[in-house]
Amino acid sequence: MLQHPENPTNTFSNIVEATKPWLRGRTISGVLILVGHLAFAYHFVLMLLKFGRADGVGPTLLAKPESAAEASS
Amino acid sequence: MNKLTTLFCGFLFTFVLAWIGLVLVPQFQFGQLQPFVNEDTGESFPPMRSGLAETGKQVYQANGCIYCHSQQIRPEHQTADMARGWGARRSVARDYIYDRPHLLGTMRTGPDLSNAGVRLSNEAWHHEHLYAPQSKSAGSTMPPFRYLYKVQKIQGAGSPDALKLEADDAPPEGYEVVPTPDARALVAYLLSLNQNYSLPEAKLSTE
Ligand code: HEC
Repeated sequence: MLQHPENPTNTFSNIVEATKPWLRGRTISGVLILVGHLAFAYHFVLMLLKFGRADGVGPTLLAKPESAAEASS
Repeated sequence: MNKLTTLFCGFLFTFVLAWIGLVLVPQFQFGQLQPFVNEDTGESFPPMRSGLAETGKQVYQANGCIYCHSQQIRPEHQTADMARGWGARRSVARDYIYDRPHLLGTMRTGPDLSNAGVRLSNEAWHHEHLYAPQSKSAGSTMPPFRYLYKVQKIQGAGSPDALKLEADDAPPEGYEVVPTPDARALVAYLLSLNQNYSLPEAKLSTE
């Protein structure tokens, strides 16, 4: 079953058959990464709207170190 | 230096480098390519596509055929492309001068289509395959493109273009499946896919 794809005696239908387990794996990983993206987008919006933390300091990304230090103290 | 300036310079460097490598250098290498005109016959290669086939190219692009099909025959050395009968010679840059954008592709979930028009020259076969890939190739993972076809009531003797479908793929009694204009254009494009001509830099081995 496992043959090199550059071996012309390995028929293309055999190659199609061999891709199937990988295609299933890619479907599962695609669903996982979609969920991850949605979770990220949700938290990103929360962060932009300053809903992220009780003290509501807003985005910490690119904030100056001293103001970040102030916020956490 | 400010962190943002460093970041910006990094972005700029990355993009300029990529632009030089992917746009500027190829432009110098291939930008001036002209069709090859056979002095004896006056024929010009690669051949121009018909208007219908050009429309079909857009259908090909819109339906993402490129995600599974390449259009490039790699050199004989160490690849099985020619041994599989996908093409008689390797593809070269000049083959694509009329393609904007070109559709070389990066994946071969399905077979290469550089010479689809030569290898599979039957119009009806393409329609039946697009409508029901598994009817032509058992176990095919190609999705059926049924929305490119119309199921309609048979009028009189029926349409001469009706697809010949069997078993589960066949429409209900009294109905027929006919190609939409998009499907016709797509198949005209597939039939136009042909690199079976000699270029000075890539001759057919018969010459
Ligand atoms: C999910 C991947 C996938 C997509 C998307 C896809 N195909 Fe395919 N295609 C395949 C596979 C796998 C085969 C081989 C099995 C078969 O013949 O059905 C194939 C076979 C073919 C063949 C026959 C080639 C041969 O040498 O036998 C043609 C022609 C073709 N596809 C055209 C198309 C067109 C046109 C589209 C877009 C409308 C398309 N395909 C979209 C996977 C795909």
